[in-house]
Amino acid sequence: MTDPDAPLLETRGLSKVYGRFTALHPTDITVRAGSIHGFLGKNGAGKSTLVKLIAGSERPTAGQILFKGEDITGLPLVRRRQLGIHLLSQHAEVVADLSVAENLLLPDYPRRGPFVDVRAMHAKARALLERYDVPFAVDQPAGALSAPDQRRLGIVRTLVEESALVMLDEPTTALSQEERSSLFDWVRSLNDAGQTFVFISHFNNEIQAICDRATVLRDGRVVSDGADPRAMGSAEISELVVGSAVDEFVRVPRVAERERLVVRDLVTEGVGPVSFSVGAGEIVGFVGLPGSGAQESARAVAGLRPVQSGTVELDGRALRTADVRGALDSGMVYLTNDRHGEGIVGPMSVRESLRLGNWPSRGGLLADGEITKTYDKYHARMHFRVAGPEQPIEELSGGNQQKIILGRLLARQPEVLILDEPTLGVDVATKEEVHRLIDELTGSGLAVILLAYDTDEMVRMVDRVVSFSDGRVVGELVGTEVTADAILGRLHHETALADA
Amino acid sequence: MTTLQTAPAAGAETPTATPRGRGRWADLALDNIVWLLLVVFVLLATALNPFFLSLANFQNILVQTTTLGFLAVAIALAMLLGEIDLSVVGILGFSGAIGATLMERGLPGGVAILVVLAIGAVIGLINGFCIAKLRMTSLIETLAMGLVLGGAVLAVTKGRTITISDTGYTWIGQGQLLGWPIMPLALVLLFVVIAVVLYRTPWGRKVYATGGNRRAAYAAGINTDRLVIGTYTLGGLLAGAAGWLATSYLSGVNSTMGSDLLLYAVAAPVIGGVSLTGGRGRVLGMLGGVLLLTIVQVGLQLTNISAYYVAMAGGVMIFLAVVVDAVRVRRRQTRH
Repeated sequence: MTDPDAPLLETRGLSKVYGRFTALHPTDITVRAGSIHGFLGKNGAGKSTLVKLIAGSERPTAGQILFKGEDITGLPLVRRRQLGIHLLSQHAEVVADLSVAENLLLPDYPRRGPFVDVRAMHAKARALLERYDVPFAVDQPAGALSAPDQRRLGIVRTLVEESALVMLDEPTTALSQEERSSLFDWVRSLNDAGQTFVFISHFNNEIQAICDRATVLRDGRVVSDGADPRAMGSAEISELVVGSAVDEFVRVPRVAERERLVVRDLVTEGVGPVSFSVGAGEIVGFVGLPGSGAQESARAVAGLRPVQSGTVELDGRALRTADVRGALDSGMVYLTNDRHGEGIVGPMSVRESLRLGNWPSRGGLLADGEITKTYDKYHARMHFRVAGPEQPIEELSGGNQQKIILGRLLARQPEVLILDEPTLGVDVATKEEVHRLIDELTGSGLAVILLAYDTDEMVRMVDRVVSFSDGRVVGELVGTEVTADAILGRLHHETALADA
Repeated sequence: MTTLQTAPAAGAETPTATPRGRGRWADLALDNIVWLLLVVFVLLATALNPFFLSLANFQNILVQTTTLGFLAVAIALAMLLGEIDLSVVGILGFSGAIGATLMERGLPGGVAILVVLAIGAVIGLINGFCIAKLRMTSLIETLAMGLVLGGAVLAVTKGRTITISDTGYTWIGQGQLLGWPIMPLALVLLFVVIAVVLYRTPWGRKVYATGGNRRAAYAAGINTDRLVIGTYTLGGLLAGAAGWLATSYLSGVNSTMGSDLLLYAVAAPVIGGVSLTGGRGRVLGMLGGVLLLTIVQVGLQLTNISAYYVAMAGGVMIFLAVVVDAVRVRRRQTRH
């Protein structure tokens, strides 16, 4: 048993400066052996920089890192791994085409002569998975595992290498509530067996659910270190994170007077038929596990997934559902949950990004003045922070990128706004701004579909919930029925159904 | 030490990522490395042989640059999409050979020009269709197309040299205006037009957007398939134009024409900072790239250095450019 108060890892005056920009001011923190230590902060607060410095993937500008009392500041990443310091990034680090066993034991496979001893490898992998209570078939490709299982596999991999400290960078990104809690249970059981974790998150409730100690960072500085987050209130933590008290925005629910978007018997690749409607000025939440049809239906309406049959009507007019262009032209816009993959064009300037794919022209040439007008308008309205209109969008923080994508969608004067995880990877303050903005937009009759795995966000924002399971609409929650428990209940119920 | 900095936007607590004082100069130098190399090389070549700086040599360099320029821009267009086009030299030879053969049979030069250009555009269209709609890998598809066309040139010419005497066709490569060759005018026109198209038209911006992130471009309503087809068609047209320029300059067609041009045409945009992964690259850089490669070749020829070393120096330049590109990408990544 490890001494509960022994410092496993300490930083002394650790800092990182990129040119003029200080990502991390001199930092002193302590991570104790046997704890689950949370790092909490907004985007750009310095959490990721701190863990990268600890893992060795970035070099500090100044300061020291002590591990079990020894200075490891000068050691490269590979040596630190050998000491047992592991960082798991947001995206599961598995090689999709290799088998579970191959992933697990990479790169030291058991051998017979010059060849890999497949049988021994499988036996070894099976034993490891059993020990950590994750019953995967060892010969299936890792890519076939679900997202949380891939993350489990990633964690077990680090444990194989006798880790002393496993740092998880936002491991719950894109997991459902259900998947999250089962991941937490498992991490807790590993911790009970003595494994130390650092857990990085945007979410206060996650930190409170799983961590016994927490470090809060803000603008590259540690504002609180070592406190027990379970003993703190959610508001207290938020205040530390943001720097001032945040009042969480709660929308006053509305009842739509007339229908705007009416979808009937929509069928899209393995999903449907589904029917639903969204009224003028209404925000409807779509709830469902991955594959349930919630996201698939939303994407199909936006023209990003082929529609096999069914009709989509907007204000009584039947719409072409063939492609994105048709959807955009008729005023239906979709905010993607995959910002890097489907949202931004990295090298494009902020100014041009606001009119991406929709650049105005006069006589065949770009109408530059008009593009600048759009920029000025949304700069004033969305309060995004940029060095200037020509700054490439890839240089901005996630929250600012999200504001620009949202601005681009609004610049199209939409009738229907589909939001898929609009506040994913977005800091607390921006999240509130986005919520207020969406609420304000519904005042002028915009119909909104919201997909969010954060049930609190759902409850605060929606007027009505439509739940999906197995490619069908299975229920609805209206008005006071919309509570976190009821939404979770829907998900649980659906899992129960799916298991049966 | 303070450097002049732009004031942060109102309400900004911390600048998320603004150019840094010293870093800005380094970035500027890295972005314009091709022009720095150009100046260094001109000084070096002039020191070794003062004739290098003469008007005659200047005109010669411009003439030599023109055909390469058209091919390099054709390839650069594909690169901006994150693709490649290795068929351009094949197009040059094939379209030129067909034009020459038709003229041999009495087709007027003016009409032959149109035929040559049209052949280029049609082959580009086929490339674009195969890559966008049939989802073929551009590297292999255009390589195969280039080989097919190279073979077709042999079949059409049967290995012999066809001479072209129709001045209605050769004026671009042979003609003079006020003591200046006409050919470089085509180069100037090319770069002006391509700069306007890429920077100042929605179509050009869509090329950058599609190359920068094809899924995002598609989701934003850009018809990315049609754009890819259009870009390859334009590239084919430019390669066809290169065929006209080259055959006009040589007053004829032979089967090995342009065979040493392909690697230089690929290298020139890269040296000029066009990213192989798409979405990044400036027209001025492309121009710098073709000028630099031509100057290196001509310069070394003037210094009586063995032809073997000329090819090697070209390789060194390209290597250097890729090193610079790698440094630039690293800087970009560490910035956030």
